[in-house]
Amino acid sequence: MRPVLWYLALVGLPVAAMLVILRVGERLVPPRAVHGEYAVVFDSAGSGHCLSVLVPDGEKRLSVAQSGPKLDVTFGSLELFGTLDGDSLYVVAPTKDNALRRAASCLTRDTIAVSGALPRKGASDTHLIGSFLFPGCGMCPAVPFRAMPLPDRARGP
Amino acid sequence: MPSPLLLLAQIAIILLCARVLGRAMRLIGQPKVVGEMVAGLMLGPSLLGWLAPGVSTSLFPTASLGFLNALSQIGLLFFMFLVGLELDAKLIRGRGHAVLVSSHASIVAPFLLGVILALYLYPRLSDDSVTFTGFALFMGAAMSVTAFPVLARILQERGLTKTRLGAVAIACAAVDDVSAWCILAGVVLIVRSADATIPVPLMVGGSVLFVLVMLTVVRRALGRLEVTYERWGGKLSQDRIAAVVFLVLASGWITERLGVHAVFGAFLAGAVMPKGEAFVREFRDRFEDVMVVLFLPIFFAFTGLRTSVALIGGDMWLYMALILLVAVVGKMAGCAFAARASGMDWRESWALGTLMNTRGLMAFVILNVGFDIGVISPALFAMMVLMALATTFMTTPVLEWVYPERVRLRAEAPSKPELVAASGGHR
Repeated sequence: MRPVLWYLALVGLPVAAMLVILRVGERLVPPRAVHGEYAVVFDSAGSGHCLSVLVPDGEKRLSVAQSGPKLDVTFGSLELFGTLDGDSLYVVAPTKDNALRRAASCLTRDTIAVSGALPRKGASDTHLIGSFLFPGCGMCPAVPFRAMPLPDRARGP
Repeated sequence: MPSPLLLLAQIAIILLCARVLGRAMRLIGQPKVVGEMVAGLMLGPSLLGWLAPGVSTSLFPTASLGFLNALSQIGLLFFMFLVGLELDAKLIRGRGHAVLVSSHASIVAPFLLGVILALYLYPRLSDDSVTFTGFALFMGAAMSVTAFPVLARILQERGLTKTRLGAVAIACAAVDDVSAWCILAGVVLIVRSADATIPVPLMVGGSVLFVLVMLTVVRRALGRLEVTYERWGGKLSQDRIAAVVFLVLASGWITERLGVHAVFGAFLAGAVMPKGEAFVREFRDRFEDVMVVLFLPIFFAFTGLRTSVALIGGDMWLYMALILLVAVVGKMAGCAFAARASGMDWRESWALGTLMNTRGLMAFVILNVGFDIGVISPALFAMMVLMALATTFMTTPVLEWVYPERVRLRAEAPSKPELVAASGGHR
């Protein structure tokens, strides 16, 4: 009898508790999923002079790895880190050299950022709409883009 | 397409690092497998990619990782086959309620704590492409696994195989392994059913039918293999080995197609193999060296290449600490209290809890499955890999502390002989 009681206490009760927790947990609201591969289409004719200094003109693939609200975005050789806040994302990275400073006479250290907005939940248009920004360089205008999610949205590298 | 030369260089470097680190770990009293796991991490973005990004990119370009992945998956299938092969119901039979209560409690306690922790981590490390149930069940499964092969090796190295502690630990780990794989198969089915390519009833029904066929028809057919093996004076022909290799691959293919995962099929193929001591040893001898020397280091390296410790920053170190705490407390204390309740003394109970806390490469297998099916994020993957490494690393020193040599020398007389064979298993 004693082993049965121990078994019920040590195994049965925790299993029951687990079922309750699983029900409670379904009410939690996690961040929206944005991870995966995207095909980038620039709204203007090209990616713009400043962006093309950092990333080859032909680069069209944007990759987003996500851990909760934390994002790790790769575009060509650029790796940008940031967060997702509701439907908006903002990721930023210092570039590896001073290419912009040389090419566009920027005064401060090169920095590149991506700001974007996710489509409304359930909307038919699933494009991510955003811009490449150059906060350290007033001579570089923002480069707007639209990013179309590609199939098989992998989580990360 | 990456050059074959690059693949050869990658494999050579992986093997070299694994051997060197494995030996280094032996010098500090750790099992070799810990060194091999560390070697894998060192070759990834966490160390090589951080210290020498140029070298890392030229040695392991993203385009070449598909080849390493394929090799590591094949290795993993045969490793899981060996794990299944080593599992023998005789290990569990006759060990009484101590094993039943301790093993189930050592699964349930960390599983429950993992699910509770999921309440905190889900909004912070997951997203709405994963359901809470899938996430929480996966966390529970990853927390509750025990590395049966590593545990067997530690028991063997510390001369504990013939003690009551060793016997109970091996039996508990065997029950844990089977339970953990069943739970994980269920979790994978739940997660994959959300965007399954085949209907859910077919996934579930097909999986149940496949298991039944393996346990009845295939097991009986394999029994004949053992009979002919004995009739031919303990020799296995290459045709028969090829048949078993075919069985492992086909079984893995079927479970993958059914939406579970190829590793379950391979594990099941091993589990239904005949369990005669000489027969098992023959297969182990044929497969083990190439597995241990070649394929497992590649699997560890591939895991390391997916692990970026740099993703763990700021608050995430707190999450990491919580994960480690929950993993250790759940497994160690859960198992120790259950063992004590079943009549073992406190020292033995804590020693058993310490041994069961060894997650080793089985956790790596589960984590890779979770990452493949998208249930865990890159940062959580990195944290869980570190947790698995830490719990494996701590086993030997903590065991020495709670169950020192003077106590070990007073340990009981040898128990059943089959345990010697079991503990002499791979890694």
